[in-house]
Amino acid sequence: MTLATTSQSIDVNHTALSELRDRLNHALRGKADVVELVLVCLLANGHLLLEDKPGLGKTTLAKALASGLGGRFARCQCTPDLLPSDITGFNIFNQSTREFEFRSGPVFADILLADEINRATPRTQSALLEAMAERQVTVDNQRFPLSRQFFVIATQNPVDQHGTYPLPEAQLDRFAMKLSVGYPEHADELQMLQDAVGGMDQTADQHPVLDASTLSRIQSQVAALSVARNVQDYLVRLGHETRSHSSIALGLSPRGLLTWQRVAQSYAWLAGRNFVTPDDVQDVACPVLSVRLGLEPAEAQTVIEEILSRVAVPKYQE
Amino acid sequence: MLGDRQSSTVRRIEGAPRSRRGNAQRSHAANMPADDSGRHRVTAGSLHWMTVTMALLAGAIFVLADADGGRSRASIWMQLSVEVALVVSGTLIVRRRLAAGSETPLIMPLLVLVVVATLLWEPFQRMFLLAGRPFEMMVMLTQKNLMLAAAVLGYQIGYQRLSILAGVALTIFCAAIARQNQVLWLTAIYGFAAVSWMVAGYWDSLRGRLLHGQSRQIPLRWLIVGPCIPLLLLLASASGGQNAITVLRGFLPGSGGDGESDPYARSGANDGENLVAGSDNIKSFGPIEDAPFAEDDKPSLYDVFNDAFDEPVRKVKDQDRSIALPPELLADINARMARSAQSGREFTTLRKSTRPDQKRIKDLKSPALLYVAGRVPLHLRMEIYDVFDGIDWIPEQLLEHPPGMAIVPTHGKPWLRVPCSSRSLGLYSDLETHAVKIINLKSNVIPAPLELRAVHIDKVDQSDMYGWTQDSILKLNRESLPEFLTINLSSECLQRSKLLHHTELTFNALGDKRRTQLPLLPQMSDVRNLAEQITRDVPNGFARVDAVINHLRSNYELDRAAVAPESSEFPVSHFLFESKRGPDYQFATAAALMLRSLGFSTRVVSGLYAHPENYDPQKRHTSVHNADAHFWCEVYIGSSTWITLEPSPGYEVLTPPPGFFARCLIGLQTALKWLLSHWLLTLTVVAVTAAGMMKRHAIHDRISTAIWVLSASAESRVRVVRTLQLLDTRLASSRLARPGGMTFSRWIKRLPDLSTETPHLNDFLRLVELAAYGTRESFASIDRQHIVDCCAAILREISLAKCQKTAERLRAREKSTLLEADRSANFPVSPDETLPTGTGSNLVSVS
Repeated sequence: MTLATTSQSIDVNHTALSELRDRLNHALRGKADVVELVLVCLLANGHLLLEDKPGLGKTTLAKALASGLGGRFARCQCTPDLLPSDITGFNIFNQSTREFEFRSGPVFADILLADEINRATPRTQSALLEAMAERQVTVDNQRFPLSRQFFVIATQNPVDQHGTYPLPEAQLDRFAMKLSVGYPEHADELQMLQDAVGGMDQTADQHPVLDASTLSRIQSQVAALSVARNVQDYLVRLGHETRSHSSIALGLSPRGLLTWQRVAQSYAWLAGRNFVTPDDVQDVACPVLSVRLGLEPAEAQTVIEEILSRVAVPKYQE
Repeated sequence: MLGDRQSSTVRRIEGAPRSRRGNAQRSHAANMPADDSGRHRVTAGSLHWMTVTMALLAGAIFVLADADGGRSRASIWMQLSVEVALVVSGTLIVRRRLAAGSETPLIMPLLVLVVVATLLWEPFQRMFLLAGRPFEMMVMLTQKNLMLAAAVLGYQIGYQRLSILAGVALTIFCAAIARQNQVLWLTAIYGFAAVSWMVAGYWDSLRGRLLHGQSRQIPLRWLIVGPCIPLLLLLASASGGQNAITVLRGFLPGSGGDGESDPYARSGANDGENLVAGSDNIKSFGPIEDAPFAEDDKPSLYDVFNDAFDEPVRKVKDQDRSIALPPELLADINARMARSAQSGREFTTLRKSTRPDQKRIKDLKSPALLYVAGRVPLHLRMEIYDVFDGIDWIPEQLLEHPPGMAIVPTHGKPWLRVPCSSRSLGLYSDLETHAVKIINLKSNVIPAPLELRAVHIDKVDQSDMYGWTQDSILKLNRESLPEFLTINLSSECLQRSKLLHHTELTFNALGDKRRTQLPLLPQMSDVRNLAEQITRDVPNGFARVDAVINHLRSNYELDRAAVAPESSEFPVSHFLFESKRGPDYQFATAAALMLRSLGFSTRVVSGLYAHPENYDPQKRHTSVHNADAHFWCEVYIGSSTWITLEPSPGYEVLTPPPGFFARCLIGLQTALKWLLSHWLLTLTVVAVTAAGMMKRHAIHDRISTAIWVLSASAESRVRVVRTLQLLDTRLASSRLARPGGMTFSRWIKRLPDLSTETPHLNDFLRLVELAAYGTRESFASIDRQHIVDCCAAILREISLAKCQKTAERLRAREKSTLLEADRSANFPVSPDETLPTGTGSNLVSVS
């Protein structure tokens, strides 16, 4: 018996989307859950922060995603000497036209991979701030709008490594979620090694599978997904709990709460539902909260679980 | 596909370290459903209704105690139902409007308003309704209303505690002052409820910190507290049944003899309104010590004797010996005399505005000879007989050399000390006081117990007012004891248990022939034979006395009408061997003779017996009537000491007041006796209760399922939610309660047996999510019949029995996990055992 729980407009098994999922899973073996959350983030129109040790596939994932999505892809490798104008772009005096002309930076792409973002200086990091929050940059008092699907995938090494500048809270709050990839399982690692023998770079010539207009359509569907009042109340209570928790210095901001709802919507959409359940909220709590509560990575999981367990889920009322 | 993704996320989250537990427990926590979430703090909500119920119960107790039997049942029920309605509706409003944990500035003013309004009600009531409450009830009414208000606000645990505290205090107060039996029962119920509230609150706060399986063991504190509750209740019931005036005497204002008077008082703290000592407008005269002096032509102990005039002020018909009153009392009486002597006074129009008392003076006739205040039973001796000629007892001779007496002022009162030589035996407990109020006793002998040590009559400070008649029997040197005289007697109490093992007793008063002499009759040999037969196997000493007395008490019947035939030469023998029934003097005679034939010195005493049956708990005294004239005997135990023996069944001798443990024991015995005598009822109640307790979950489940079936007509959304609530209850009663921070679908998927063998589960979960969080339109599009079928199917699939089985399996698995962890913790593999000593260093040196 099928239940009419999914509305006709939701096309979960969108071929493009599943192709993208497959491609990501192929690039990053054995990390289906991470891939799923990356998709959630993408559909929620939020930015993604990947944090893990070097060599675990952060950049691979970002590149795979970029190749799968149509649109321009740019990447900038953040180093301590990277300047803000290297990201936003700058005005250059054209000798031939005797005029200043604007050379756009990497932020003008649809997907920006900011690799090792915490190696850049705070000044450069904050240049990304406006771009991420408002999807525009201002150079020499001139405002340049960015692509509507502008999507930042930033990667960073754990903060306690040498030569890093931890991201300020204000910037962290601009990311929708933080994910860590983690080491692969034995079998997956084995498969990876087998693939590498005699193989060549498969991602090089791959065509995009999800074009910008489809993505935009899905994103607007996600944003319109219904959230029941009791679930919203649950979200608000969870937000309050983060603010009163003893081991959290910086409680959840209203912007963070909005992001959480959007991510939960996206999660519900991917699950094929046209409404959000408290389970969706709980499932995305960890990636959403760990980026913005200022917690040590080691204790983040425990604290978030504690918050979830303290706040009662909405009652099933008649 | 989605399911896989979800579960992998879940696993990742759950697998993380939860807290600072050990490794073993951490792994266990990952395997087991985590019950400990969401309950770390005391949840005020779960106990709120319990608090409200308890507050209503305490309120009902107060209303009953406050009514004091003076209100109709209908009006009490009316008041109670109004209270219940108000409190329940208030609670519903509070619970709906105020979320848990929120603070409203209105609460404190509201509580203050409740208190002030209650206090203001009293003057209004007194002014306009011509009714009122005494002060203590007013205070308690305020407390009751405060308690109810706090219970209504019990969405916060602090107000719950306030309510419970006030309720406990109120209930204790009511249990102490109330006279109705219902209050006692309600108090017992309240006590149980209060303990349950505490336990529930405690467990609620602990639940988060305990491992799942551990709650099965009965905690030690329950083993201690459990038996304590019935014990306390027994104690309460042992001391209950009497008016609590006994308990609260001196603490509460009343209309009694403490000088205070309150028209709204419930009852007097001393002897009630009739016996208030007044000084103005005297209408009555009663047997109390501080009664005023008034002129009368009846013979009185007190007379107005003025040294200045050397003669009484007024002649009294029957002149008797009396005590001179001090001049300061005299002045008052003389002044009144003078006023009444003026016959042809001027008539003045200037009058005091005192209203003349219209009440007619009525005499309260009392059939009592006297009243005894103090512990009873009490043997009050009046006359002693020592020589017996077979038919008649001849009174003891008057003392030739009466012992001296002296008035010793104690606490400002003149007490007559009675010399005593028996203290050396160490058989007596502390002094205790009795007051004898003479009403109608035509004798000058002071009725007093045997172990009398001191006597006090108000204002009698001359020892020559007293005199001896027989051994330790006092008299007043007058014709008779005046009416309404109060005599205070201070006596000691014999500790009978010490007698049996006392070594220094000499039972024969040397050279005392009168008290050992037996009538010279042939029948006496029968009596002696009987006495010897009774005491054949009994060792010498007091045990023999006990044996004889017990024989008489258990084998003979007291019958005041069974008089021996007049022709009988030796009525005792008729009583002992033929009729085996007789009046108390036959018992006394038989005991005295049998003991004499065994060599003891005995005598027979006549007097009055203050029977505990005649105790009036309200007036707190025992009346002694003509019918209480009684005979008993006494036996000599050396050191000029006699002790009372009571051979008549139905009469008891005063024993020292029982200690705490003795009282507990008595309470226990009484309860046990009651239980044994109602064994069928007890067994049934125990069996039904036990069965109910064991099957309570099943019974509850049946009832809720039946209700669910009956509510079939409900809207489909409601039906889904009710089904879910029923499942939640089933899980909770199998101790698999869903944690607050987890949705049903997530929780049920953690319970392996319940989620795998239930084909309808996924359908149902989808329905639940849609009903709870989905849009109404999408829910409305589902086939109603499908919803009904799905709900019914899931209720069949997740039955209570299945839940319980799952819980058991989970617990067993958990135990084995813990056991393994334990084993590995107890037997750690040390590196020394695995490697022979020295190997390590060898390896190092080789490498």
